[in-house]
Amino acid sequence: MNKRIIILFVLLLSMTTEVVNAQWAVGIKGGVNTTSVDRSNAGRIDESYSSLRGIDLGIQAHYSFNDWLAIRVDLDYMTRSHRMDRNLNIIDTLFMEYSNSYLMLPVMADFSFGGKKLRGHLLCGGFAGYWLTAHRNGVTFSVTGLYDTDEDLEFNDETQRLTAGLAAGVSLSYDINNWLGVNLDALYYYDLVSYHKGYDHLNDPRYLSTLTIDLGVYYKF
Amino acid sequence: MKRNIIILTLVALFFTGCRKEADYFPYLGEESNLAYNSYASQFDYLWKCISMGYVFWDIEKTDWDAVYDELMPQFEALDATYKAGGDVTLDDLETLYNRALGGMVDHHMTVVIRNIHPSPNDTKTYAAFRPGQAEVATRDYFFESVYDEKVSMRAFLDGIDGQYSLAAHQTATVLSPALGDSVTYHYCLINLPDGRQIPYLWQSGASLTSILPTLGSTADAAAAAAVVDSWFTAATTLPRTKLAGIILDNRANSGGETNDINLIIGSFLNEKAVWGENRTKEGPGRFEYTAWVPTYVFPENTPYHRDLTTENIPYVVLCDINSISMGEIEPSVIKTLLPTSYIIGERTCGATGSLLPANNIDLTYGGPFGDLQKMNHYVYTSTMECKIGGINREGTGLVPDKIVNRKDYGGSFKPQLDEAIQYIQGY
Repeated sequence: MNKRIIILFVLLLSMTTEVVNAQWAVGIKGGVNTTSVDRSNAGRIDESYSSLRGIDLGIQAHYSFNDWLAIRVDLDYMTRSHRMDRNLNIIDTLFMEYSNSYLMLPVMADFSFGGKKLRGHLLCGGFAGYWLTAHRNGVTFSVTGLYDTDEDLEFNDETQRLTAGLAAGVSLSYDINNWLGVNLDALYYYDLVSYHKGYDHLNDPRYLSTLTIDLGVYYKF
Repeated sequence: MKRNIIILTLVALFFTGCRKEADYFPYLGEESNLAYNSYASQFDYLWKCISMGYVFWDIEKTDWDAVYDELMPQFEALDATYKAGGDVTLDDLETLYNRALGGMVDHHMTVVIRNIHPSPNDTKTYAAFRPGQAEVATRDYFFESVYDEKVSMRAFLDGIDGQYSLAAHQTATVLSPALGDSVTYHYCLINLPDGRQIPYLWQSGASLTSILPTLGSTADAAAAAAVVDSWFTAATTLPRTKLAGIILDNRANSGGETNDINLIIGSFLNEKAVWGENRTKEGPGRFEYTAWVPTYVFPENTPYHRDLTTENIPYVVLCDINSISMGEIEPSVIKTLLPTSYIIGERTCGATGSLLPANNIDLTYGGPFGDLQKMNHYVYTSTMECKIGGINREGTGLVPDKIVNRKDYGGSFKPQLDEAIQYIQGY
């Protein structure tokens, strides 16, 4: 893994060019997302996972090196939710919806193109995240029948609260005037850290992926 | 710029391969014949199944990962011994499996392992491990194992007429359809010197739910139902001035049906109440649990009724180290829900998790698995974790309000019963 980070760093350095017209922009953003879970069916029967919608709220910062390259750093509060359904022959009404909130910190290279006011952006980089809260609601099995549950979950020794991964996407920005602009982002977060720690002799990694659509407004210095 | 985008795309593709694959997970409900080819693979399979299906990881003190690291090389050494033409005996397996399972908190647990290469020096091919029973036998107040105690208890009650003034004494033994085992009941109506009476019931297992509806279906069931009916009838219909209190004796009660709570407790409550909370596993992770689900006692489901609390009638329950499972859940629930209750005897076994048949594994991800007829292992383990009054008593059991250990009286059953009668007399 260390080797990969060094390679990535060297490659990013190789892209830098002379800094001209450096410019800061900061702003806020908000939107919706959809999260999916990637896990094997190891040890489980008749479970299916599906995506659920979540929300994003955050701040964004841009630092332009030149007219086509900037660095983009966001700090987002994000709910990353998914649903599990049991499709057993005996009972097909069991399900659980998991709603997890994360603090996400994507750091991305921002390659822009287009006109003076309306510009397109290609964003790519990585992110770090921290799992803040966990909640679930649904119908579970009990000895006396089915049971509706709606509860906050406590983290335990299997919980991996720190996450990291790749972040990439596209964005469209429009400068309203010399100091104010709006942007529309579509970003994809691809976790490379399992949210379940697993065990040395029984590893069961589970990964989240989240697609966000956010509308933002920024102020240029 | 195009060059840079290509570089970053390559970097992204490079990293997307960093997600790890899951290890092989056995399916607990496997019914096909698992032909282990080594002692190491047998241990690996069982270790993984217990890691996934065991329900007490939140309170378990055994370091299950350290167990693997320590013992896997030793199972591999057994394989090497066998391949070299050596003999691997059940003693060899017992030594290792006792080290693996010896500290497990599940007091229902029994693990049966077949020697995949039976030794000519052994008279049988399998060994059983019962970590809970082994722990119970180390307690300083341990006196008798459960099956011996049932025999002793029956002998004590068979001779009870000469020791107390009794207005009635009935007994019956019935084969419980739910337990697949016989259950003995003794009902006594104890006379006090002041003219009041105490209805007393001993049950060697918890199977009232199955027996009462079968009243009259067989001679045995009818006789057992009549014994039980006598106790409930006396407890619920004797005039308050005549009724000093009631005694339920759950000593040597090895457990049984959960629904008995409706009769044993519900008959003496006015309204539906939560008797405890249960949960099962919800996935293969050790801490993947369902929510704690409240479980209710329904007074309307019983033909008997008397509000002991309103009438301030003492309900004394006797229990001991061999009160197991429902045998100890019942006094725990009575203690939680009935203010006039009083528990006398010994700290109970601590096997409080409920079990469901193995065909529920699809739902519960835990509980009993394996089949000694089709496979080389059978693991009897709790399906559910249970809390009563917010307390999880697995491995520790219920501590009575008044401790009276049989060991201090040469094993006699009488002092505990005397204590119960004295308590009621002085209530």
